[in-house]
Amino acid sequence: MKREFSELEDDAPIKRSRQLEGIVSHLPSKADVLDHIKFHIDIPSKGPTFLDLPWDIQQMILDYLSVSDRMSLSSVNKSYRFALQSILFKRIKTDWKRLVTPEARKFLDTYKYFILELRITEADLYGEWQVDINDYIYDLTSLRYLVFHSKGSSSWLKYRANHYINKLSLVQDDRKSELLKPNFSLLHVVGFANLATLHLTNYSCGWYEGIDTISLREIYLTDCVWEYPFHLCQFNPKNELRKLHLTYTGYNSFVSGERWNKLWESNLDGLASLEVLEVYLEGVRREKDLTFSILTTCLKLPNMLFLKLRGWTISLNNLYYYLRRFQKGDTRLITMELAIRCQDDDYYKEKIRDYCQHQLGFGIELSTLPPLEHPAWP
Amino acid sequence: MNGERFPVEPKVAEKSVLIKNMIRDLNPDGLQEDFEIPTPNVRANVMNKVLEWCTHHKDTAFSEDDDDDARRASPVDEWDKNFLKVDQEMLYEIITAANYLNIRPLLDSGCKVVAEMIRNKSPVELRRVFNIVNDFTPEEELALKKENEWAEDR
Repeated sequence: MKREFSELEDDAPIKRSRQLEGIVSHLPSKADVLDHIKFHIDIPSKGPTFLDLPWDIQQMILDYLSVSDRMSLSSVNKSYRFALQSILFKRIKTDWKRLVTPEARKFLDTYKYFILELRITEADLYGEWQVDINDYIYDLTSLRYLVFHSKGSSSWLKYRANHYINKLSLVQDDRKSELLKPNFSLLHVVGFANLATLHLTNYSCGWYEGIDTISLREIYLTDCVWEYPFHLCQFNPKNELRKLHLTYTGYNSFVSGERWNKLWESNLDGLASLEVLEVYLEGVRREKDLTFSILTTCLKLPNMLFLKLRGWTISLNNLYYYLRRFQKGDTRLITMELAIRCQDDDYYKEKIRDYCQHQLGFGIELSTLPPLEHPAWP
Repeated sequence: MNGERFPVEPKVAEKSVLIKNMIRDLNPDGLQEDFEIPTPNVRANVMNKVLEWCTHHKDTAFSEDDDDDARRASPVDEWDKNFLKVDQEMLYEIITAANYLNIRPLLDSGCKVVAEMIRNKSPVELRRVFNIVNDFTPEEELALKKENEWAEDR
């Protein structure tokens, strides 16, 4: 109906009225006619509308909405589409197959200035090895963040380069046992000269000598493992790493093993530049004690400002006893967040808070998680 | 804008950070006499509504928390919700005035109310609610759907 009506609008008035009658007489019911006419003669309110609000207020409102709500709003008419396109396509996703289509070319060309983040949603060996992603993202001058879901080693990235990207995520969706985790090395990403933030999920980190062209600022490792002679400090050749985040989930032999202990025994050697350290043990099936030596390692890193430990086991009175062994000036810490597995005890919680705040000079957010019910091997 | 005057006690006016700073800057020793503040960007009937809000909340202690997440997560105050049951034109003008006068809690409530009007509605429902005319052809609408598939949804 609408198409017919818009065609009519281009015609002369007399002809138009005649044709309109024609259309109306062919419509099936009176209700449909009324709907049809009402739809097209709606006159927008003359007062301010959402689009007349200042841009930053529009953004505040859109911040409260989900992606699908934003999609719906951007689909109401052309003005809304135009106003919302920058926020709608700031973060985009595709699989490899779609990326190489003419439709993708057109889309990427249309919205190239808005795209900040691109996620490749599915692992595809052909895409990884045969498609040079840089051919597709070269013109996306705002793009900074790439996410790849993959199933194998990251070695294909050795043959890729891009100087805009500063954040990269590599995700293995399948949880694999430690021995089967695909390999990652910094050598694979040297083509991304401005890489500052790296997220790895389910990789085995390996090492090649002499990679010091990348200066990472933040590293997030989820269920990642490594083999001798790799040390986490090898991610920090230029001593510019500010944040290290480690998460381990479910049953994980790595956390129970020797290399994990070695990490802490090394006193996080070579990671002196760290300002933020987060270590989450989410649902690991074996309790890991937060020992005095691990706590000392964390607190005494020379630049450490924010420490977050989650899922470790320690009783509150032991924690209090350990903290009492530190003195003012021993740490530069500003905030410590602990969610520990232990019996709750308000008395010690209060004492810990008081001691951290008044004697050690940092704030502490302390919460307790229930102890593991079956701290045993699966 | 209309040359009207709205006499209010300082406590009410100072809900606006813009006015509060203005009073403080121009009267460093405290207010000694009546002080007139022009607000040329706000229409009289909108100013009336804004002052009604300020009067109601004159003793409310709003958290000065700059934490965006906390502010975002808090639900709209019940009184504010009823207060903002106005026509859309007025709602947008209140939001714009709250922005200009720097009344953050009113601005937040206004934005949340608009977001609530948008939430969980199809484009067709949104056009009805906001009185918007659809200017897409069916072909263009189809193309939009294809494009929307690119938007990251997590």
